[in-house]
Amino acid sequence: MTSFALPASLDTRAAPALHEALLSFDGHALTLDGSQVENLGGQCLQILLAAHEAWAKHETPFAIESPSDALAAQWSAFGAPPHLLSPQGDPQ
Amino acid sequence: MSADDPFEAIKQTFFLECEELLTDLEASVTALTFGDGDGETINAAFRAIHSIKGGAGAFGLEELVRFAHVFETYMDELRSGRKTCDETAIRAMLHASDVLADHVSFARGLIPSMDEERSQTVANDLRALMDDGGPVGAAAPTPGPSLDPIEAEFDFKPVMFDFGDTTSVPDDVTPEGWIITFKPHIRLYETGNEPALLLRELARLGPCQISLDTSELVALADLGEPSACLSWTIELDAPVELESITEIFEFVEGECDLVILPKGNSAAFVEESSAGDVDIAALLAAATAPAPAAPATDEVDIQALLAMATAAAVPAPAADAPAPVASVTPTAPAPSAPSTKAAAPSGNASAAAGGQASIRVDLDRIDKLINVVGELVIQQAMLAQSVAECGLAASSTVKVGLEDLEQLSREIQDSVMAIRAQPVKSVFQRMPRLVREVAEMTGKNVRLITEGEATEVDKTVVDRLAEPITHMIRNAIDHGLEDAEGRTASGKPKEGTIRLAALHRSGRIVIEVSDDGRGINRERVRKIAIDRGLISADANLSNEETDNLIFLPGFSTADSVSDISGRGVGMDVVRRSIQQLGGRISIASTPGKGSVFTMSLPLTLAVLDGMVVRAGGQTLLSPLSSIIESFTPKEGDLHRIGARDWVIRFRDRFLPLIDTGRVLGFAGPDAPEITGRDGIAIVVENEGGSQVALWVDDIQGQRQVVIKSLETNYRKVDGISAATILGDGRVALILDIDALVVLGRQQANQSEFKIAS
Repeated sequence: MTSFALPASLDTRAAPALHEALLSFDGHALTLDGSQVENLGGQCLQILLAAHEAWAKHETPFAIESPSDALAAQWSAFGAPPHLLSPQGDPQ
Repeated sequence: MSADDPFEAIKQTFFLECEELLTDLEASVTALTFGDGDGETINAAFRAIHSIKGGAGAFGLEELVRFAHVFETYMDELRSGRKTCDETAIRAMLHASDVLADHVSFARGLIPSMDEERSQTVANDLRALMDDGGPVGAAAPTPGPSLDPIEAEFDFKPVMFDFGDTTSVPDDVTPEGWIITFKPHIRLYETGNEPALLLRELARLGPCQISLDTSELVALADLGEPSACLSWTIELDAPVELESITEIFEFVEGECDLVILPKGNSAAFVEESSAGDVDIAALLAAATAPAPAAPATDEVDIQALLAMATAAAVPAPAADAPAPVASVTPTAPAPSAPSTKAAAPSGNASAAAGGQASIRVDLDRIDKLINVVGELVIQQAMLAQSVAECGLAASSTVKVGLEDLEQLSREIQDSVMAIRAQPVKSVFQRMPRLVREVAEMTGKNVRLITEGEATEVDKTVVDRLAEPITHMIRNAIDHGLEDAEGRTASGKPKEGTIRLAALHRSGRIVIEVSDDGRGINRERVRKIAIDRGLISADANLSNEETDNLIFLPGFSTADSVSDISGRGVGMDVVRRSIQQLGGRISIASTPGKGSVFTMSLPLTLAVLDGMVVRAGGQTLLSPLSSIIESFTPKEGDLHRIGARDWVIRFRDRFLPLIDTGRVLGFAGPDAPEITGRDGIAIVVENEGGSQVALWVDDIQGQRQVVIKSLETNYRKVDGISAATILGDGRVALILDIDALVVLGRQQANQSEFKIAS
């Protein structure tokens, strides 16, 4: 299980780096640590959602763990599927 | 700030735009103050506020957005005619525009703190004005969904786009909610906007059910290229006006697909719209067609749509105002298609004004260019001198070519200077606010008239004009204008007038600040000057000389130190700052009629017209602006006073004579006295308009030179303001006449002291 800490800022500027980072984990079970996230924009949301789909396709575990309050709030403000965030840190 | 950071760059551009928008706002409000405004003026003010709010929203400047929102809502009331634009309204606008400017300055980091209390007070005043005569929905936070009985009566009529005809606008009430479908294009992200912020703004209107549509989401591997695959459907359960929703999205106009439908009746409309995009486009084209500035068919101006919707609305108390049925931004151009930035914002007055194309250039780049051009001019002069020394015939190709080169380099220099030239408008526009504030503090009625705002002058001069003008206007209101009773008693209109004018005169810019007040009280000025020991009790001064006493350091005519002026640092500070710009200030006053302060400044600080002179074996340059006359004295014109001081006879007067070479230390103490050398006297005018004569060895001619800072390249030298490089490659020092006079006086005092001891 690979773990990756999401940066504090996930705005449009952070999108290319996030995309690249996620691609580099392709094929590995992945846990994203969301505890540091302070903001989340549409571009990064889209990348996280696409990543989730990609991992699901290969049936590899993928989870965003311990989301910060800010991340959880923005996630729900976007109307994104709540089950993708796992507060308990249990990926599957 | 990093220039590499595109977001920071966009933010800086936003602030620059804010500056222009605030100027437009000020102009509109000023026009209204003078009764010159009409509906379009109010519209222009509204657009300016709206544009600031929109941009601020994109950058998350919440305080600014909140205030702008209240202000904008109020302006909307005015432009829709629901509230009348009377004196109270204009006063509220003036206050609000000041606070808005403060908010922008604060967000930009130009002022350290924001007067929240004032902001609140002004915002509350605006709300109070709106509430006066019925609550306004958009001003206050909208309550949640209400179980109003009107729900049952609400009958949505789908095809109601003929805004030109008021009768076809349904007399329905605002629906109980809205369904908003929002699909950002990639451009939305690229321009620094963020759906998260827009969704948050929507959530502010009332309870929202947000559902995310990921059906167009592409594979992760394909997301390397920026793309926008997400869209949202928002169910807003609040009976807000359509306008509150569309204004949230106005700044992403053309950068997203947006459909707003009233809740509960969407089926009917969806059916209508599902007939195809063509229908919607046609519908919208029809709706926008009457608008004079209808944009290209594939882009719909929400603003125009709304303006018409509002105009068409049956006048009624705000809360009951019928909402337009629906607003749809069309499937705007494909994300990559538009090459221009989705049409200029409608609030951008500069674009509307003349359609002049302009670019923003970093000032450093221009300065660099000016510097290089300065070097070119010097190099060209040096080359010309070398060629002249070769003794070539005047018709030789080298000489002819050189003359052409000279012509060209002069043209380049002029053109470069023109790039830096800025209208003084940016400074003048700040003054109405100042006048208002000072007038309020002093309880006087003041009207400010500005003239010649388009007069252009070098940017460095413009930047440094604000302070002296501010000071002069404060003084004019505080000391110059009488209070209302005083004015009535002397048969003048109650309202005092301050006139601020700029004009070009013989290669310089002249700024005049005049008032129609009481004029200078010469008796009092004279008494104060005597009391403070500035002049002797028996001094015989002309009216002009008496008037000019107010420029002496430490002189203040106010009986009491007021908040506004009269700290005793008034006019001498003004004169000092103007002199530092190479300018002069004078005053003309008529008792009972008013005073005129006139300052004259060079158009640029980069070049200088000067007289090349030699003194003590050195080549020096005296600024032409301060030279009155030069002459060769006859024997008997020079008289020695005391041990070392000299005076010279000039037109039946005696002027102090300053031995330039000696004062600057070029000629040693052993150098022969003035009478032992041939020389020329240059009569110059120093601070306060008094004249002195400079003694120089000879005059070499008049020349325009490029100013080089001595302080930057060497260090400050007393009596010298800057340096330049002459054609022969030598450095010539530029005389600081005022400092030279002071220096001469100090040295004279010292020598007297030596003799006395």
